[in-house]
Amino acid sequence: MRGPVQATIRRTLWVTLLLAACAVAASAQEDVRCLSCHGKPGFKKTLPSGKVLELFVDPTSIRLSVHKDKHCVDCHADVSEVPHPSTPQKVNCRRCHYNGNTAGAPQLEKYVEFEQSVHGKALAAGNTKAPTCQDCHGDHFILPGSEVRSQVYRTHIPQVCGRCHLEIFGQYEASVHGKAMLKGNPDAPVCTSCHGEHNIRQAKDQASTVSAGQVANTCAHCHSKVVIMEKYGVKAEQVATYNESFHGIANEFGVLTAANCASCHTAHDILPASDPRSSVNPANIPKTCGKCHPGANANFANGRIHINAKDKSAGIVYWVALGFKILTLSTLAGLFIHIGLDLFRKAKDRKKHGGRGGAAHSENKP
Amino acid sequence: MTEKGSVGTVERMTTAQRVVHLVLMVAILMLVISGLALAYHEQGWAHAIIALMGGLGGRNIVHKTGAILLVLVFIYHVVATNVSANHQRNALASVPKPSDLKAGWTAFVWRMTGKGEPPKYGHYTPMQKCQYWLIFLGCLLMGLSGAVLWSPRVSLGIFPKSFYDIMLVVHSSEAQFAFVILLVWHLWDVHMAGGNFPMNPAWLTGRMREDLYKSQHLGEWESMQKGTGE
Repeated sequence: MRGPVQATIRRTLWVTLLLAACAVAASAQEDVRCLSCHGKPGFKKTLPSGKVLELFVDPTSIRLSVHKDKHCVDCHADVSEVPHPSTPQKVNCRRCHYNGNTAGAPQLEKYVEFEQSVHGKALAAGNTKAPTCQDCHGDHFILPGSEVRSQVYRTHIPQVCGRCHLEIFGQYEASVHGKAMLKGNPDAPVCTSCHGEHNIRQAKDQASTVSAGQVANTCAHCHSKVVIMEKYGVKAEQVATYNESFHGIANEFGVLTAANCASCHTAHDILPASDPRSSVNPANIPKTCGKCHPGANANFANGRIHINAKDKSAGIVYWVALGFKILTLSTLAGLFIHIGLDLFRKAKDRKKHGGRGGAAHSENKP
Repeated sequence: MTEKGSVGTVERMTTAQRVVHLVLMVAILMLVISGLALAYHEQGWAHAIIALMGGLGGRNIVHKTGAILLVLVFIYHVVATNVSANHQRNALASVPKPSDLKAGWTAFVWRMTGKGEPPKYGHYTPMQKCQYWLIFLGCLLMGLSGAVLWSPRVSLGIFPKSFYDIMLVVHSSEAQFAFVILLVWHLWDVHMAGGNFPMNPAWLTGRMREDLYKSQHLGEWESMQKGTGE
């Protein structure tokens, strides 16, 4: 009785394999069919609105990308006829890119992160301007972010984000960070260094890396590292001096209205204090402090902000702190000598009188 | 004030002095606890204290209430010293004199070598005078610097930021100095030294045991005996 069952299984397997092989062949054939039009340079379509759709696809771009083994219809799954009876839909990467997929796409938390992000939420809410995967990663020539030719390679990020965030891109480009990045400096932060990638959240979202409660830690990633900061003449102790300041302490205890790094230095316009356009240039300090301290005057600029009382550069503050330290330590030393002598005399007397020295003190000696 | 107690005790502190001492103690405890919690904010215990006070806002209220108490008790002390004869006598007794240096030296030699006489201290020992004046100056310094720190809005309207920063470092440094003096010096003095262990009860009862009074303030004791004719 087992013969016919086994035969059926075997037959089914063979048919499945055959069908799979046919599908692969068909897909490959489909590619040829697709490219008969889309492979022609200059292939385009003018929409009724006058917008021109570039429809040429360089087949080598796919072959060099991470999707080199995929075929056109793997992603453009809704295309089955040529010419297309209706405009093909935008490709949905989520067909493969979800956790638990069997298509070989990487299993990553990023898919979930994106859903929680400001972009993912806007997309889910139906915002047509919200970015999808392709807006940042490109379409046919997708490469890992670690590759220089990738659209999401570090130094390409500002342009990618800047396509939508025009104004911020302009501010960033002129900032100390943007200028360094444009010079090819690998230390310089790009958008994602502070905002994250797939998990970008609004600054007012407390889970955001640039929220009032977290931004100081985000800046500290680089700004607390002496190895990086000494190259640019910036003090790494600015992080510690902020943490020790009233603003930093308030922030530590969850008072989110207290000033954080960005409150004074701005988020994207960051410029050295020596630059007259900088928010922390002495001439602009009253205005900057005035955002939270109404009526702030020139007195606010008359003194330093990041003060380290343990460093000579703090001037009088350093000397006052040192003076008190010496005073306290020498007083303590004096006290311990005093206490030591007190005990010494008491012990001597006790020895002399034998046994208890008397409840009354040694000084009570007649 | 030299009146003898019924069970061999001597009056050391008047009721008014005890009240002032108590208020001063409460004020300083409030200030020190809430102040140290801020200075050592990164420590776990500081977080616990601040949470107990209801967060940073509550901590500020505790600190500022302590500050008001301290200023009031300081003003009372200065005014009372100038108007009351009893206070004046105390104040005069607390003025440092050249003889204090001599007494201090005698005490030092006697403690080191056991030679010579044990020191004959007056109503206040040289060490107590030192403590008193350090705390007195400390109150002035803490009060003045604290007033500047009280409202940055007001003080930065008048003074430059650099002055504010100096007041801040003075405030925190002097606070820690005063804390050390009180903790090590004063507490040693009234709990451990001179046979006081476990405690000199004068701050509660106002009175001290005769034998301890005699040993700690021999100079005053001798003049007391002469004065009362005993």
